[in-house]
Amino acid sequence: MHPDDLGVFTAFVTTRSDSLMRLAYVLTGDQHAAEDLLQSALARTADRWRSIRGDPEAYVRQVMYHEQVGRWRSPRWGRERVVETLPERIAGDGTERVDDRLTLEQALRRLPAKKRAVLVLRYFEDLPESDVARIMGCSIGTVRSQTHQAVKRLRELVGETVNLEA
Amino acid sequence: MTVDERAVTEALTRLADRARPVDPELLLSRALRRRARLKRPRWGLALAAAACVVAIGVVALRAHEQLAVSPASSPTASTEPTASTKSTARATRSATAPPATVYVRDIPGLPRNTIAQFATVEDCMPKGSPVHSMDGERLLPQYGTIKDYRWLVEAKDKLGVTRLVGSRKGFVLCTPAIRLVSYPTDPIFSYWGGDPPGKLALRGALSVDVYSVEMQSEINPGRDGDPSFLVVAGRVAPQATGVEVEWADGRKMTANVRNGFYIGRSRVYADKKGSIRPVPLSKVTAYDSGGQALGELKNVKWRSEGTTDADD
Repeated sequence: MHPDDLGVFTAFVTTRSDSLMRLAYVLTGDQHAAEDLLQSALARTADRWRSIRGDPEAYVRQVMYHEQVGRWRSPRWGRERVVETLPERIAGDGTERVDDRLTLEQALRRLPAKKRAVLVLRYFEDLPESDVARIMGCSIGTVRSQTHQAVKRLRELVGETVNLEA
Repeated sequence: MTVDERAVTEALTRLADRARPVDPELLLSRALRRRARLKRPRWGLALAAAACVVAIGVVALRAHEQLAVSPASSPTASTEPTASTKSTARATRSATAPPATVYVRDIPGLPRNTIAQFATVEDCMPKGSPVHSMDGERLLPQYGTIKDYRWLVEAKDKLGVTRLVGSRKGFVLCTPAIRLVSYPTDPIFSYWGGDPPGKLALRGALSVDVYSVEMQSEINPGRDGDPSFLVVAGRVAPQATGVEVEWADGRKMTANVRNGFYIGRSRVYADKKGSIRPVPLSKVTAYDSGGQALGELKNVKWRSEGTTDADD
């Protein structure tokens, strides 16, 4: 990388890493996986830094979405992973509201990466369907159906958990 | 517990809040190191690609010598090859014959494909078969595998291409992109005529088998974002040489016709809400080489890809 480019790229990473890390975490649901995803996306971005026109952050975000969906496609994805800390228990502190929140968060973590990515784009990033379709590389109809399916699956997962507890 | 948009947004925001900030310097150094690793295998890929080219060349030469050889001019003649490539090769080979093109195995009713044309089928279905419209990872081999499909016809413009790839039962639309950076469209299967079991035979002179939107994913889309296209495609009488599409709003498009199949695409833009509302087709007309109308369809409505059957 040219020294001038490196300077700009360094400034970009320094200023935007927190925001990008948040997105990576929402996509992966895991700190280590999020760091890995972000590193990988930044590596690809550095590789194409000169050819990127427009907002580089948008480019990094797009690469992250595609990488995450691509990783999900790999046979390794979906297997159990070793984590530093135990996941929070659903019936942790005894209040229904907190239980509901944790239940929903766990359900989100259990969604397939593609469905979660669509929800992240639609509701976390608050993007219109056309932008989601552009980033995901699919039709608007597919975005709608994926969103619908994802919310439906979330409801099932939440319901499952509640039933299991009952 | 209510799971609605608000609950999902709040849950995602809470998840994001759990992310621990990373040291930007460490992140940067790791990313740059990884970038160096990314660059390294490219030589390996280049060598592998060169080896593949040599291997394909050898295979093609052998195939040329042994079987499946016929003159390059033959595939445009008809949608239904009259004989297998093997027998054609025997019949037409001579000492003075020009270098011949190698074709893949014929499928009755589908145009003969060269190896290069068939490569676009493989490109279209990288996993080997059509996939589920809701889940690109879910293969649907019940709709056939690559070997059952052939490249039929394509619509090309300065922005890219959309291909019609079909089998005897149905078809998929393919709008390629650059893998890992921008994504090709998923191969979503549709039956010829829309309903199972899907028959290639055409009733009348013309059929609009799909009227849909295809998005072409790009690396660096302009201000308008990745371009979207209204795509009209289907079957047409073998003697047809032209298909003209007219929308209710007055727009017109000439589709590409080849061996009894046609496809056309026209750029379309989303409205302020980000939605694309396709206008009905007022008329689709097939013409022969003399400009004579062979048949027409009026008031054709939206007919998107996909199928609903026992699998759903």
